[in-house]
This record gives sequence, structure tokens and C-alpha cells, in this order.
Amino acid sequence: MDPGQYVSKYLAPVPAGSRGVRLTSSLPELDERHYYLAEGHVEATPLSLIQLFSAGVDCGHTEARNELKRRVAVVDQQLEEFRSIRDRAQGDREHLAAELLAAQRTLYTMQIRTGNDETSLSIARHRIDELESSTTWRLTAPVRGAGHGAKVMLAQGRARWAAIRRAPQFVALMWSIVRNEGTAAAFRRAWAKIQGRGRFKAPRAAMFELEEDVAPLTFAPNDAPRVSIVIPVFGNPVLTFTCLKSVQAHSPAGQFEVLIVDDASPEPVAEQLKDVTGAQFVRNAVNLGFIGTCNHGAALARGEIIVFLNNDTIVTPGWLDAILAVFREHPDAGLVGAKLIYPDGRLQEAGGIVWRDGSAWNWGRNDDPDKPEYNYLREADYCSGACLAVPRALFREVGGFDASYAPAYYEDVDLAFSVRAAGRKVYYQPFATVVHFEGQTSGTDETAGVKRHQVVNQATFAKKWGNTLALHRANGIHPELEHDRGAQMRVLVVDACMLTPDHDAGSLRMQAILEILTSLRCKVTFVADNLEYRQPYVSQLQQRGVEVLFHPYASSIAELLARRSSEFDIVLMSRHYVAVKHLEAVRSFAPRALVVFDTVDLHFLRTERQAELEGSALARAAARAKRDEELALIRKADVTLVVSPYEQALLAELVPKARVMVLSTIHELLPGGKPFAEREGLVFIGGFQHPPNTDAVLWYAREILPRVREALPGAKTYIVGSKVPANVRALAAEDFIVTGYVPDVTSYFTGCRASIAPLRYGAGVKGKINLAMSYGLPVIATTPSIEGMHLNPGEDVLVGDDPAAFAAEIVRAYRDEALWQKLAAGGRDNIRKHFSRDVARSTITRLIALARGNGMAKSA
Amino acid sequence: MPPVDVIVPVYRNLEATRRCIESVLASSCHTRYELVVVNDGTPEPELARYLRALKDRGHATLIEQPSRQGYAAAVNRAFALHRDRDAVVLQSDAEVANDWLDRLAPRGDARGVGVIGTFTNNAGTATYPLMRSDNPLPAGLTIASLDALFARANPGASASLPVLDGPCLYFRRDCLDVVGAFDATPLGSDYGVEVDFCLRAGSAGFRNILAGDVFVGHSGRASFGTREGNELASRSELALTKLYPAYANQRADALVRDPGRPFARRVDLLRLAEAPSRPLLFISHPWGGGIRRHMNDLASLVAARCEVLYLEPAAGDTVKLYWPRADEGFAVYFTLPGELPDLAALLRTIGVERLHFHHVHLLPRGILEIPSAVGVPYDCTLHDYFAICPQYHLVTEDGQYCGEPDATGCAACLTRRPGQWGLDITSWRGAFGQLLRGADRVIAPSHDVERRIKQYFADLSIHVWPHPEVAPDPPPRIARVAVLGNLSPEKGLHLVAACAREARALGLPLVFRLLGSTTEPIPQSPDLPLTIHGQYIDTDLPLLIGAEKPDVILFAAQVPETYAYTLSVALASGLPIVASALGAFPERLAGHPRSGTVPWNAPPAVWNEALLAAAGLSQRPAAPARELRVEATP
Repeated sequence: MDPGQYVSKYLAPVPAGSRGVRLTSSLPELDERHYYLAEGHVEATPLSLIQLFSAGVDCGHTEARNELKRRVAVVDQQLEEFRSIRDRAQGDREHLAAELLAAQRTLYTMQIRTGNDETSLSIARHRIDELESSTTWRLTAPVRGAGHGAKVMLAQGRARWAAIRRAPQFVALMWSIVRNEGTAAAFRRAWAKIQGRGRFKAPRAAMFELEEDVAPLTFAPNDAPRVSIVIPVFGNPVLTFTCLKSVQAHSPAGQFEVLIVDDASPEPVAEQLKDVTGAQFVRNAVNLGFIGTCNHGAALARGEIIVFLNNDTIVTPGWLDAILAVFREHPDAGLVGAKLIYPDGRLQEAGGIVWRDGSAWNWGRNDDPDKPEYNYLREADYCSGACLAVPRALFREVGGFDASYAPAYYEDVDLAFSVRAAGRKVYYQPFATVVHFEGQTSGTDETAGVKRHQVVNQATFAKKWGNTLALHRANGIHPELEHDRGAQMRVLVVDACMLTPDHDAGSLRMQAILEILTSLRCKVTFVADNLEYRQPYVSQLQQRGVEVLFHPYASSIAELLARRSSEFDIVLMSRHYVAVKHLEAVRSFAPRALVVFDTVDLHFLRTERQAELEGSALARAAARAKRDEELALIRKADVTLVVSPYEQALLAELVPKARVMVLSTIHELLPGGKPFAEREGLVFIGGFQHPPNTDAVLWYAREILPRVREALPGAKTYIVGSKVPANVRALAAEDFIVTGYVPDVTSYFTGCRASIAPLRYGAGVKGKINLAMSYGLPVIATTPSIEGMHLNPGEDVLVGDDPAAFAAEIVRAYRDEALWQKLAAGGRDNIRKHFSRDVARSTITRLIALARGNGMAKSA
Repeated sequence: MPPVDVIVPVYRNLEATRRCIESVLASSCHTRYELVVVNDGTPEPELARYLRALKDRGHATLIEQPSRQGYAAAVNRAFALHRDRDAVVLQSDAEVANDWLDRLAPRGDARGVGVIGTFTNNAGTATYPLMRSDNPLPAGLTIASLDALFARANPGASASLPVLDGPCLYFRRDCLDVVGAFDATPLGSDYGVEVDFCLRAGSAGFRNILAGDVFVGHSGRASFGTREGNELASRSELALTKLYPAYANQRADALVRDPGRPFARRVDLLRLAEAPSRPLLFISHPWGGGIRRHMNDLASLVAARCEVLYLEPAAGDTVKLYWPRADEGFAVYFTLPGELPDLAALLRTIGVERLHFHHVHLLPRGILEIPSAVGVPYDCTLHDYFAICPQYHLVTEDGQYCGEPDATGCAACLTRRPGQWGLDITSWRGAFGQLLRGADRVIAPSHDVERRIKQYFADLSIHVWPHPEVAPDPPPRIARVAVLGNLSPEKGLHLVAACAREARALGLPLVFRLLGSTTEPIPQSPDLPLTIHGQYIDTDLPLLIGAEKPDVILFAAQVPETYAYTLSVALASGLPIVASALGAFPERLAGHPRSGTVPWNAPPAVWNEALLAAAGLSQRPAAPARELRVEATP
């Protein structure tokens, strides 16, 4: 209808014109609730995004499409907000974590301070516990009699559980061992723990005292001494005698001569010490002071190495061996100093630091001498002249102690600088501990006189070595960095447990990595995730120049990171379950450091294969979770280390952006041993804490061994490896010998005819194969076990994947000498090309270069 | 009582400032006040002269900042002028009316009040008619008349709010003494300094209240540049949420509670009650479609004579009565049947003339009682068959026409699918029969409806009025231009969009149809005469062209094409082709009788002309296609 017509009809009953009313009365008071839609009602329930998509995109409704666009933009924006909230929360969390750590540090310090009180308190508490438990025992006696032993067990169990809860650190340690080595190992270690092994115990603070009086003492005469111990003396015969007695007691007889140089004491020393025989007494015509006296003694020395030893010292067991070991292991050693302690056990010096102005510090003075930072072999700016070893030829070459410092002070510092100028190094040997009654050499009057020379000599020294000193820091700045001046990089390495290179290939590899790092002038700090102190391994690493941290000097990895992480350029975490625990903390505390994740082997490959073999859904799910966790780590790390190119290629596919480098196991070529004809038997090597090894040996014994017996009657199979489970041990037979742990496995590799690696799963490079090949011993293996090892079946290895084929290949290698020779040579070649130290060194060199670039990029 | 300082900080805009200051001076306040104008270093010499003249004539105290110090600093200087006085901060683009200060100032005596705000039309915590909107003044009202309405609707009323913002804020001196002054430092700009002040006042124990009886006009954010302003405003909003963690919640809560709403609604009611003619009320379901179109058409047809209100379901048994004009905010809610008397009383008060039922779907049953409760005549329009069947389209479960069975059939259908209000068919028809018989007029848009309804209500007299509408225009002749393939900027995406824009702007008879997809979004129908078919399977392209029947196919490539498979399909179609004179097009089009090429960089107008020519719709005398071949200018 026409609109005009319609509206006139429509409005016909409506009166025209204005009503002209103005409301005279006020509006009725309408309750305010009518202005709001009751709570809980929403005027229009918003459609879901998918409904809008359906209406707008699928069905073509423009309004729905526009609404969808608007809503999606809102959702996107909210998502962005949520992300930033999440990031903020993350930041807050990290901040809180840092604060928590700082608080823990304070607490820790306070605990140390109150330590003494606590010890007595805990002794008292222990006594109370003892009393209480015995009461319980007595009270429960009738119950026991009534056959309610279970209740007692429960009560005891509770008490034990309480003890465990009180020691969370112990639980964490055990848990990490369980994960790494299995429950049996954890049990053994717990046992060891109860016995007190695997844990640092501070040696009882020995108080050193002077001998009562001079007594008879005889040194074995020596015509061709290796070492000349030069002892400058001025009076004080008891002091000198105390020193001589300790030298006689703690030095290897037949290796040394003793030269006592009397600096014109008022009463001749030879007279005072006439009961001492076998030592050579020399007397200066006039008082020459310390420098002249030492030089005099040196001139008379016959040994290849001169040790200058103050007469106010007491040497301790092993001191000279430790010093000589440095000269033996480090041909570049020009000067070796000892760890000096005070008679009351405090540290006097762990090597010295010289500052830019020429002033010198005794590093660690008055501190606890057992602290890890004082107990690894390292270069020092100088070592105090109280105990100083130098090759005689070198001492002569640099002109002895510089007489311009006469009578004393700075001559030892100067000597260290001269030795370095001559191209040799100055080492601090913490394993040579020497007690020093400081300041007792010279008489009190003279001391005051001599001390005056300190100022003068510092100036002389600073002028002479100004160019070198310019590179040092100013006095007191960062001594913790200055005492390792030579370090071009500082590397923190965290592995699961203490390295036990005589037990497992993983430790062997890590030890080689540490050695290469130190050889590349890196200062390496190693800590086991469980903070254990396990000897002799700790000392072995310390002697290789690695700083090793352990409990109680580190109370947790997190605490360690909070305290020291700023000094590290590289943080290398080995094994995913270690890295996953600490990566976040490393990132926050050491933002500058290159974070390296050393996979050792990709764990998820192993668990996935194991899950396939087991065929259980649970195992598969666990493997998937493992995989996600490990890949996430790889994404977060700056560099990931894998042991084989196979894994590298796999990661390139899974995590294309990650930087992945191959750092395989490291092997030296070893002498081959017996010829083919004289060899006999087969060898399998591998620790049984590694599940694939157990599977391999069981498979071999059940499926392959019967076939081998048929073809090669009498041929023996040796199963070499620690931690043998019962089901393997049960299989032992005349021709199937289960040896257990063997300290030296060489004879198996030099005497057996072939090595076997029947692994059905597992990942990574197999140490057992490389070890055999480094001896030139042919290997029969499965396809999974040679994965990523650059091996070619028939050329340098034989491969059989089912029992029949595996047995056939064993027989072939066992009988065919030409093939045997070919495999032996091929295996050695493969080691040289892919697993030698040189290959590893070039990888680590690249890593260091990256860290340098990384530090520059991050500080820029 | 000491006088009140009315502080006007001024930076720019002489006209607005003059209106503001004159409105203050012209107001009929009895409260003693002193006008304090702060010249915040205006760059407009005329404005500076005007302000100085004000001072010279003794109308205002003038504080002159030597250079621009910003809003907060300007106000702070004025706050410091008289340390015993309350102060009103009035934006220089605000306008007050009547005895505004007399209504505002007494609230200052209330215990614990810190800041007092007013209603305004745009910018601030309380805007009218729509909350938090930039409202123009409602038609027929001035600032003074609207302010008078507020004064009458909400005398002495106020409500507490966490924060206040707006062109006119009253600050109590004891609050200033405790809280201090404006502080722009933590916010990064002057935006939000009032909000910051209110939050500080709140935490110092003061209440911030909105006066329900004062309206202050506001012409916009003249003092600040708007584009940069939005950015600053959001930055300071962010700073506020960081400074006052509870603020975000308070604000969200205030948005939901909207404590100022009753004040605005009472003004609405007053306006409706005093409108020159009595309003009509349309009752309907809340959906769109034909019913809503008819209602809206009818409402606008009668708009010259009277206002129309709508009543529709809101949620459950609650109905919503509202003013459907886009610029009005009036809405009230009633739950039926309990609140029917209140609704009826309200409708009587605002003098509703007639009711008009368009539909009752989704409405509570009590809606049928509303005519008798209000006591006014009503109409019913039959938009479907709801009156005779709750399945108002007369369909079965399968969505087919049910054929209108007998009562037994209908009863069976309703048993299977109970209808609204749970009535059986007899009661349903009884109820609706009563409604229709009581109506003043029953209107049907067609005889068919009349016939069907009358089968059930034979005695009913029904007016058959086809819906009011102007006969739609016959569709014009339009050239349909097809573009083939996945269209990227290289293939002329932007050129096609530009041609469509040009066609829309000049009203050219061209529509563009993209047979395929695009690499990035471009405006399309209804904004431009351009639609996108979407991806197709290559082999279906001939079929698609056949179905779409384009008048011309366009190849708008902006780069030299090496071959173009789609061109082969276009050539095979025999349809006219327009292509860029670039790449392989010229040689491949040679010999095609109905083709033309255009320089690739020709403006859209040239392309459109070529397209119209090819489609035979050129307004200009058709030029031979050859002449279009102009060499491209680089």
C-alpha cells in the first residue's frame, strides 16, 4: 500500500494535534530495579565463535560475519593480554626465585655461623632420641611378645620416614641415583652412605706443634739426588729440627738431598743440630739475607729440581710426590708452589695474586683450606717462597733470586714472573700441603727491618714488570676471577653424578671433554647434580686442573648458580634430567652464558624403542612425554651436543632452529695385543645399570649363544661389566663367564678374538664398540647399535639383526683371518676419523668461539 | 561560607571558551563564586586578548602561565589560589545553565564527600542520553532545557561512584587538603588526572558522588588533540590499573551497576510524558525479519505525529519497554505477571495512546492482559498464523506445510510439540480469539491471511492492508565483469578494487565478480559492487563462467604475464575480454574479435570505460577497441 495512504488510515483513530500537557504532578516513583535487567540475565547471550563462523561464513550472514570479525579481534587482543600476563607472572616468579635463593644464602651463612652451637645441640638431641627409642623398645616388649611385631615395624618405619623427611637433600640425591643407575645402585650407594663413603668429611683439624727438642735424626745419604731441598736457616734450632723431621718422615727416601744453609747465625747451626746426620750443612761467611742464602744453597744443589723450603715449616705426607707429579705431567711447569696452612689449620695461601700496582695477595688467607676453590691444580701469579720448587737449570737460566730485592721480599714474586717470561708456567699444587709458622724465620728485630723493604721492593718490582702488570686488575677487584687469570673461558659443567671413568663410558667421555677444555685454557668447574664427593675421582679431576664442587661447599645447584653464575661464560649441563632441573635457573642467573645441553644420548629415542619392544601404551605415553621434555630443552638451549650425526640429523628435522653439534665419545688408539691365532673367545662389555645392556646379554644368551656353541664348540663368551643383575648372573656357564666389575679390561681386548654388541635398542654412540675398535678388535653388532657411528658392515664391522645372522657373523669373524685383519684395521681407521681427541677438540674449539660471540652479543 | 572558585583552564578555541565563560556569567546562581580563568599559554592571541578583557572588566580572576604547562599544572595553580575554598573545575568547552552551582554546591556539605560530578552529553562518567557516548543534544532540547529537566527529575539526588570524570567537577576543599592536587607524573600525561585524584580521594576515605540534577553541556575535547589524545588516554588508563590494582574491578563493577542510570531514565520518562503527542506502543518478539521491518517502517511513518515505544521479551518472563530510536537510551524492565500493574501505570503516566500487537512469540502469557490493564484501544497485525497455531508457519516437524488438519490433528501435533505457554489447541485459539475480538482493528497484509484466519474466527472483521511501501525500482541494466583466478596485487587486485570504488562513486552500471579468491582482503558488497565467488576447481571454470554469465572478462595483471591459462578459458567462452596491454595478453588476444587492451597503469576510469564499452553499455559513443591500445608509459 502506498505509505501515505496507509499512515492516514492507520492514524485515523489517533487524535491530531499536540496534547499540550505539561506534567503537573511529578512522575510516579518507579522502583529503581526496573532500570536494570535482573542479575543473572544477560540481554543477549553472545553466540560462540563457531556459531558466528557458521552463520557468517558458512551461511553468508553479513552481520554474523562482521560480528565474528569484531569478536575475533577482541579474542586476539585478549590472547595478547593473557600472554603478557603470563610473561609478567613468569618474571615475578623468577624474581621471587632469586629472592628465595638470596634468602637461602643468608640462611646458609647464618647456619655456618651457628654451626658450632648446632653441633652440640644435635648431640644433645641425639642423646635424647637414643633414650626415647630405648624406652619405646622397652615399652613395646610385651606387645612383641604377643606377636604384634607388625606394629613395631610400623613404628620403626615411621621413625625412619621422619628421618628421611628431615633429610630432603639425601632423598633428592637418592632419587637422582635411582633415575640414573637404577634402584640396586641406589641401595648400594645408600649403604656406602651409611658407611660414610661418597661424602666429604673435613679432616680433623690437626694442630701442628714444634718438637720439644732437637733429637737424633738420620737422612739416608744420596749420591745422585733427584731433588735438592734447600733450607735457609738463621738460628732457632728446634724450629729447623721440626721441619727436618717432617721432611724425613714424608719424603720418598732415595730421591732427595737436604741442604741446610746457615746464614751466619750467631751460633753455627751445624753445631746446634749435630744430632741430625745425612743432611749437608753449609754456612755463609757473612749474613746474606734470605735471597743470598737461597742462591748460595742453589749453587751447591745437585738435584734436577731445587725445592726451597723455609725452616719454619712442617711438610705433610705426599708433599714432594705431589710437587714432582706436576713437573712430570706438565712439561711446561717452571715453578711449583704448595698449599700453605697455619699451624691451627687455617689456610695461609693457595697461590698468590699480584695486582696492577704490584701489591700481592695470599689467595684464601685465613679461610677453610678444604674449600673446593683452593683444591685444584692451577696456574698462580706466584707462590710464596716458603715452599717453592724450580728446575735447577731454569733457576740458573733466570739468574736465581734477583739480588736487587735483597735482603728479602718480592724475590719469590719476581722469580715467578721471570719463569713466565722464560716461557714456563707457575703452578699451585694444592695436594702438597705445607704448614708455615709465618714470620718466625727471622728474628723480631730483623723482621721490623725487613718489612721496610717490602715497600721499596714493591716499587722496584712494579717498575720491572709494569708491562705485564698492566693487564692485571687493580687491587682487590674480583680476586675470584684474578686467581684464575689464565682462563680464557670459564665453564661450569653439571653432570648427574661424580665421574667414574673406570666404570662407564659416559664418564670417560665427559672426562675427556673436561681435559680438552682445560687444555684450551678454560677454567672448568665441575659439579655433580647430587653434589657427591666421591674419591678418588674428585682428586683425579682436581689434579687435572678441574675445580670440583660438592656438598657442603655447595648446598644445591641453585644456590651455586645464585652465588657464582655470573663468572661463567659457558654452562654445560649433561643429561636431560639434569638440564631440565636447572636450565631456568641458569638462564636467570647467568644470562650472559652460553647454555649448552649435552644430551649424552637422546633419551627419548631409547625410551621410544623400549616402548616399541614392550608394546605398552603406558610406556609409549611416557616416551612421548620424555620426547616433548627433551625437545623443549633443546629449543631452550643455545647449543645442544649429541654423540652422533644420526641424532644431529634427526634434531635438524624435529627442531630445525636449534644449534646442534656432534661431540662423540673420545677414544685413543691402543696397542692391539695378541695375534689372531693366539686369540680366543668373545667379549661383551657394558655396565648393567644401562637397561639396553641387560636386554642385549639376555637376548644373546638365550637366542644366539646356542647357535654359537653349535658352530664353535668351546668358544667362551666373557660378559664384563659392573652391577650385574641376578637374572644375568644366573646364566653363567663354563663357556659363558660373567666377570662383574673388572678394574682393567685390557686383557679381554688384547686376548679375545671378537667383541659383541647385540643391542636391540638404545641410542647414541656405543662406547663398547669404540673401545673394542680402539684396540683393533673386530665387532659383531646389530643395526641399532652401530647407528650414527659411521660404520660400514663388512668393512669395519659385521652386522646381524636376528639370532641366526648374528651367530653366523660371529662364526665368520672367528674363522676368517683375512676378514679379521680387515675389520681390525677398518675399526681403527673409524676411531681415528670420527672419535679421536682431535675431532672432539675441534668441536669444543667451535663451542668456545660461539661462547665468545655469545658473550659479546649479550653484553652489547 | 566562603565563595566557590569556578576554575576554567584555557588553552585553545576562543568560540567554545567564550560560550563557556558566558554561560557561567549568565547563570542565575545565588551561590557566591569567583571565576578563575587560567591561560595555559594559549597560542591564540585573540583568545589571550579575550581573557585579559574578562579580567579587565572584573568578570574573572586571570592566572597566566608564561608557557603551556598542561591541564593539571594549570588547575593546580588555581587550586592554590584560595586555600579555604571549594573549587569547580570547568572545561573551557563546557556550558552550564540555570542555577547549576546552587544545585551542585550544597552537596559539598554532605559528610565525607570528596568530588562531585554532573551529567553531560559527551565525555565523562555520566553522559546523557546514552551512557559513555558522544551524544548530540536530543532534538528540540537545549542545554538549559535539558538541565531544567534533570533538576525536576532528580532534585537533590546523587549516587556514589568510584571515580568521576567529566567537563564539570566540584572539589571539596577538605578533600583537596588531604589528597593534594592533580598529579600527572605517574600517568605520563594529563589524561586521567581526575580519575587518579578520585582514586586517591577514595583511598583517603572520601566519597565521590554524581549529582543527578545537574546537566552541563560539553562540545568535545577541544583542549586536546584527539588522535594523539586517544593514545595518551589509553596509556594513562594502563598506568592507573597498575597504580591501583583494585581499579579495574571497580570500573568493571561500576559499568555493570551503572549507579547513574536511574537519573537518566527519569529524565527520559519526563520527556516522554511531556512529549507533544501521546506515544504508541508496539509489542513484538525481539527478532529481525519482516515483522521488525514493518514495525520500523510504520514507526518512522508516524514519527511526525507521535513517538513509538517497543515492548519485547528480555529474558524469561521479563519484558523490556524501550525507546527504539538509536540515540535514545530509555529502557525499563518488568517481570510479568507480577509487575504488570507497574508497567500499566507507567504506560498510563506517559500517556500511551494505543497499543499495537505485532507478535507475542517468546513473551510471557501475561502480555495478553496488558490492554485491559492500561485501558487503551489496541490493534493487532497478523504477520503469521500464530493466532490459530503456535507453530506459526503452519508446518510439520519436517518443516512442511501441515495442510491445516482438523482439531484432532492439531491437538495431536501439539501433544508431540507443545507450543508456547503450554496451552492445548482449544485454549490457544480461545485466548487469541479473545485478543483479536477485543482489538480495535485487526490488520492483515493479504487476503490469504484473512481467509485462513477467518476459517477459525469467522466473525472477525479483518482489514486487509498490504504493508506500506514504495514500489521498488526495476533492476537496472548492469554489466557483470568477471575476474578469473586467485587475485593478487600483481594480478591486479588493487586495480580491480579501485575500479569497483570508482564505479560506486560515479554510479556506473558495473559489478565485479571475482571467480576465485584473493590473496588479501578487499572491501566487497555491500560496501562496493564487488563479490568474491571463492576458490574453484580449475576444470570447473568453464562451467562457472557459463553459470555466472559475465558480460565481460577482465585481466588486470600489473606484471607481464607469460601465458595465463585462464585466458584460454576466457577466449573459449567467446565473451568480450579486457586485458592489460602487457606481457602475453596482446599477442594472445590478437584475432579475438571482442577484446580490448588497456595500458597496465591506466587509471580506473579508463579501465571502467573499456569495460562498459566491451559490455556495450558505454555512455560515450563506442570507440573501436583498437584505439584503446595505447603503449604503456613507464
